[in-house]
Parts: sequence; structure tokens; C-alpha cells
Amino acid sequence: MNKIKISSYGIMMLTFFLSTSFFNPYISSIILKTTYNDSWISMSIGFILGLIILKILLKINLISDKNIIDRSNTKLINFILIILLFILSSSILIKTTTFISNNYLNNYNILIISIITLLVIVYAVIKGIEPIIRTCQILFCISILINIIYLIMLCFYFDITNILPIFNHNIKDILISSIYYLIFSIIPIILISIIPKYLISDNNYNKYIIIGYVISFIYNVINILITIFSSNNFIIENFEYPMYFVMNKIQYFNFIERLDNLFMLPNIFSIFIFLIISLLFINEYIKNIFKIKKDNIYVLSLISILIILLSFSFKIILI
Amino acid sequence: MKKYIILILLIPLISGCNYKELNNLSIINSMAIDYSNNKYKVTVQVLNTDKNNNEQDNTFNGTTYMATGKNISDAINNINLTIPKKIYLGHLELLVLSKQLVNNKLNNIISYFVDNNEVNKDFTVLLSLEDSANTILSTKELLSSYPYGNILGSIENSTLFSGISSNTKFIDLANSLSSDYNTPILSTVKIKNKTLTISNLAILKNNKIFIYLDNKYNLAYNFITNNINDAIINYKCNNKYSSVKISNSNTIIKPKIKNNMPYINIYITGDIYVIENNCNDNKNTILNNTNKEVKNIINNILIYSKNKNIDIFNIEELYYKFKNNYYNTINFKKIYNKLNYNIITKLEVR
Repeated sequence: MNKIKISSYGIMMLTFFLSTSFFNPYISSIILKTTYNDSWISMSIGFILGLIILKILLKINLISDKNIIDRSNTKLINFILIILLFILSSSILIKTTTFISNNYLNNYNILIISIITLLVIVYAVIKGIEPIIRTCQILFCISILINIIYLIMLCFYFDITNILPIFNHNIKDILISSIYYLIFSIIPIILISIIPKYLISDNNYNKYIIIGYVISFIYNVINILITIFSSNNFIIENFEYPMYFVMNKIQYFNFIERLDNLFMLPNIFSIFIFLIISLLFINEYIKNIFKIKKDNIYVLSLISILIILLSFSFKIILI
Repeated sequence: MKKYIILILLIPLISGCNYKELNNLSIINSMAIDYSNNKYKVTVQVLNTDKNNNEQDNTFNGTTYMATGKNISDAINNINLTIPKKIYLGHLELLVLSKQLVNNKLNNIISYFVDNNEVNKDFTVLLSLEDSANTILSTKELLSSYPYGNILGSIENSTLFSGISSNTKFIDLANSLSSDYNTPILSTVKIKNKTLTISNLAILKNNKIFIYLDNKYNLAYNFITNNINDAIINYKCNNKYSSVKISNSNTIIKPKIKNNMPYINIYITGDIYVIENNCNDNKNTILNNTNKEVKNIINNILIYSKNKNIDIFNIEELYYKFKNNYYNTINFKKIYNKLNYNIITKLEVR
């Protein structure tokens, strides 16, 4: 029996990161553009629907004695998931590296940023699930701390009346936004099924997955409200990352300023964790298909190259 | 062995990111844009980063460059031909626009600065009232080491302490231009006796300059929009003038509906400090006279805005937010000139 044990808290934090991973790069902007001041309503609807789906998933053993790859009755689901993961991870990789290149590394070559990011991810995958979960726990604390500081610093710029008038958007727009939120907060959580039951130290993991999902919703809704309170329609309509733009506003005592890059770190952490788990998932799948017993650096490199190639093809398509 | 191969492969990556050396950048702190004959004339003021640190003189250590082009990017590219360093707009603090540009190509300006990733969107925008924007930026001033510093200082002081201008930031201007409920307002600057002077506020409508507010209305505008720290009010008594300063003022506009018509209550609170009591008035008289004068100046600007049918205090937005059901049943712009109001002052003499 494997001696490695993962706590339920670790599972909770992993759920949090997976559920928030698509929020800032994709969902926040879409939701804000569609329903602006009613975004919190659509997110709440999406969250409630997501909670029902998550409960069903947990009922049908999202986490079981075997991981999802090794189960005999999930072959089709696994195949669909792998295709989906290749698409999601490459699109999120190109989006994140472009963002990093534009805002952190001063128009540095995206290919090199992608390679370096994937090198770290491959290293994490080789180390295994337990160090990944421990990394999640550290990053979770840092993310929450950064978010609290960000909230306190930005609250002086709030215009609470921006949330008015409530229910000003039509129900169709609200529902579309809520479905976006539902899909992109639930699909990444399915990746938890890569962890077999025997690796978890206690049996409360189902409860903690739900807690992780609730925390991620609270975190996301707070971020959306902060953006609504401290921005305006023009910012929402014209900027790809309204949350990032809002962070740029923070300025105290003429020297505490340009903290946007620091406050964006939690979002980058969650994307990073999603990419690690995706690569772990794909790696396990390939190992299972080709009956490879140990982690192989060549397989992981091949997957990384494929993801990079796909991400660049996405970029070409988008251009 | 594998580890060493990986380490060797990683060596080219540890050279650090593609950072920009300060000495290789032309840091632009202010920019002026003029428009004539379908051409843009861009003037930039570049901070001199090569200056010797031992030099303690307070003189302006920047240079002004100018070029024309088919659009702003073209003009900036043409400036790049004359500057040996790369133009960096990340520290832009002031943008001066000419009247012709605002009236014809304001949307292009907004779109250029919004789309430019490098530009910090929190810079002040000014309108040149009489001269070209280029002339404003080229005027040398004595008080500040950088000319743009002088303009910015004047704008901030005149907004906070006398209330005759408004420090409009780019992002607020862009928002009000795109909004259906906000009226864009710009401060203006002109050259008077070879000195830069902050002038009347310009109100924009349909992306064009609509009217200029007189100085007497500027104070009231800043009073109502809570953009002022200390408002100096002069009131007449016995053919003399007394002065009071209103500090910590706060204005709240509450939208109401009366007989199916919009009706606003304007609440003004603040502390009165006597500056010049030329009529030996007691506390009550000072309070009454100040209340009367405050009501009078606010009344004047409201009548003026109703006559011109321009909602300079964004009252429409208040109805949109707080009385949305009612707002959806009316055409606010059409009935703005019938807007009723009540001014309630709660000032205290300190």
C-alpha cells in the first residue's frame, strides 16, 4: 500500500483552485460584459446549479477506490475528458502566457514563457500528487491573504451605487452567464477524480470538495463585486481583464502603487494548478493506454510539446 | 547525467527577462495633440534621464519633440525618428488636446489610448482654449522644473481650493463619452500674459464642445460634484463683501418623483470658517447669508443647465440607478428642462 496520504483540507484547496482557474482569464469578462451589475445574480444561479451537479457527481463516486483512468466503465468519458483537457489547457496556456508577456515580462517571447511554465509543471507532475496538494495548501493561504489585502486597499475606491439597478438585464442574458459560470467552475473539478480514495487520509473528502466549491464561489463573487464597485461600463466593455484594470487604481501615499501585478498572482496560481492537474491527468491516461508503469519524462515532454503546439494554433486561429 | 543535461539546457534561460533599461527609454510625461488639414500634430515632452545626478539646479530637464502624421501612431513613429531612444508612454501624466481635435476626432484619441497597453489610463486631460495644444506644452514656466508639473499643480489646486476647474482623468472622460447618462466635462487652459492659466470648464455633447461654463458656475459645479476641499464664498452685506470658507462640504442629490415628474432634493452639509467679516456680522447672520449665497449659486447653475438642456450633474444616471422603473417610462432628456429641485443646506459656523 502507498504510504502517501492527502488530507481532506488539501482536496478542498485543490477544488478551490480548479474551480477558480477559468474565472479570471475567461468567465469574469464574459459575465461582466453580458450582465454587468447583475453578474452576481447570474453567478449565484450558476453556483446553485453547479452545487446540484457536484452533489450528483459525488453521489456517483467522483472519488473512488480507483482513479477515473483505471476504472473500467469510464473509457468514453476519459477520452472526451482528454480531448477537452488538451483544448482547455492549451487555450488557457496561450491566454496566460500572452498576459504574462504583456504585463509582467515586457513583451517577452511567448514560446519561451510557455516552455518555462511547462517545465515547472512537468517537474510538479513527476513529483506526484502529494507535493502538488502541499503546494496548493501554501498557494491557497497566499491567495486568500493577497485577496484580503486587495479588498481592503480597493474599498476606498468603491461606488456601491454601481450595482443599481438590480435585475436590469433580461433573464436570457442572466441565464447564459450563469451557464458559463456553471460549466467553467464544475468541469475542472472533475479532474479531482484522478486521486484514488486510498490516497486520502480521511473519509470526509466529499464534504470538503463542496466546501472548496463554496469558497471558490465566495471568492469569485467578491472579486466580481469589487470590479463592479470600482469600475464603470466603459472599463467592462473595453478591457479584456477588467479586474486587472481595477487593481491598477490602487494608489496610496504616492508610493504604494502599481500593485496590479501582485494582486493578479492568485489568478495565475489557479491557472498553474489547473495546468498541473491537466498534465497529470493526460499523463495517467497515456500511461494507462500504453501500459507504462513509471512516469516518463519523454511522455510528459511530448504532451507538453503537443499543448504548446495546440496553444499556438489557437493563437493563429484567434488572430 | 540527465540532471546535468537539463541544467545545461536551462543556462540560456537564466539571463533574466527582457527588461527595459531606463537609459534606453524616452519617458514621456506629457503630450499635446493638434489636428488640422486631416493631419495630427503630436508634441511630446521627454524626461531627460541622462542628467547628471550632481546637478542640483531646478531648471526643466526635459526636451519637447513634435511631429505630424496621418494618425497618432504615425505621428509618434515620426517622433521616434528624431529620438534615439524608444518612446515610453507608461508615465504619461498630462494630455492637452486642441479644440479642433476634440470637435472632430475625439473618438480616435480615446481608442488610441484605450488600445495602447503601455499607457497608464490615469492621466489628466485638458483642452487648450485659445492656442494650439503644442503651444501650451511648449510654454516655459518658472515655478516647476517641468512645465507639465505647473499645469497639473494649477489644475489640482484650482479644483480643490477654488473650485474653478475639474481634474478630468482620461478613463472618466472615456466613460462619460460612452455613457448615455453622463456628461463629459473638460478643464481648459489658455495662455494669459505669457503664463498658463486655467480657464472655464468645457461641457461636451455628442462628442463635440457644447458650451463653456462661466467661472461663476465652475465653483457650483465642483460644489455639487463633491470635487472641492475648500470653497470660498463671498456675500454682499451693507455694500461690502464678507468672505467665508466652506470646508468638509458634502453634497447629496436624492432623486424623487412628484406628480409623475422628476424632482430632486439637494442636501449640502459643511463647516463655515469666517475669513473676512467686513460687516461685523454675528454667527447667525453669517450662517443665513452663507446659506443664501450657496443656494443662490447652485440655483443659478441649475437654471443655466436647464435652459441649455444639458444635464451636467448626471442626474439622469441617478434616476436610472435609483428610480429605474420610473426612468424606463420617461424620456429624461426631453423633460430635463422641467426638472424641479429643492436645495437644503445644513451648514454650521465653526
